Amino acid sequence: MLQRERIAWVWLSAMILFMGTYFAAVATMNDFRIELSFLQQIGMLAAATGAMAVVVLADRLIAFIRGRGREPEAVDERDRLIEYRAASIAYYILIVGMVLVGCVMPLDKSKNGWDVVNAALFYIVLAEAVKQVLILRGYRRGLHV
Amino acid sequence: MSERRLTNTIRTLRFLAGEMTQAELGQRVGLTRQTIAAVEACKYSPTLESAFRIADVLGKPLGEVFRWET
Repeated sequence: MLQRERIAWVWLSAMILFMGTYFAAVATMNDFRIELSFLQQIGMLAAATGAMAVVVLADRLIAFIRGRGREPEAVDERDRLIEYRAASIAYYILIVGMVLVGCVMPLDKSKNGWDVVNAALFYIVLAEAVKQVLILRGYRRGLHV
Repeated sequence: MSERRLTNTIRTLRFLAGEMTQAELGQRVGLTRQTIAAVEACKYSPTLESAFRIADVLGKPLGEVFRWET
């Protein structure tokens, strides 16, 4: 497996696991109308993003230690095209999400600040997850111009 | 738009060029071994420049290396 493929798998898995848990917890609390303080909200978010960062950094560190002495993996036109395709599709998801969060949600008076923050985070995570899935798909199933 | 697939004879031509490896071909045309493998498996269509470079290294005209699947 290519290093770039492995990075995409780790990034995607960590995002689904930790950010998925965070959004599930937020949604459950909203359903049961559990109010969290600002610090509790920030703490939950920091725990999720921190755990994700630890997993990703640990993977990079392991890859660095294992790859010492070897030449770094080269990037060519195929890698750039896969990345470009994935990023351009993810960009549209991000834009749609940001329009909803920035232009529609503020008009809904029932939504508080954290609802807007979490919705924005959700679309960022969704766009990134789609990007990683498309990168993996590009490497696995091929890509044609 | 045409639904025809682009196919190639790189594997055969590498064999005829003294069992040239994918890595060696890749190095000579500026692509990675993985990309050469993907091109051979028809999972990636190279850019026109790379296609010409591959044909050049294998010593064949472009039309003999890449062609539409019949």
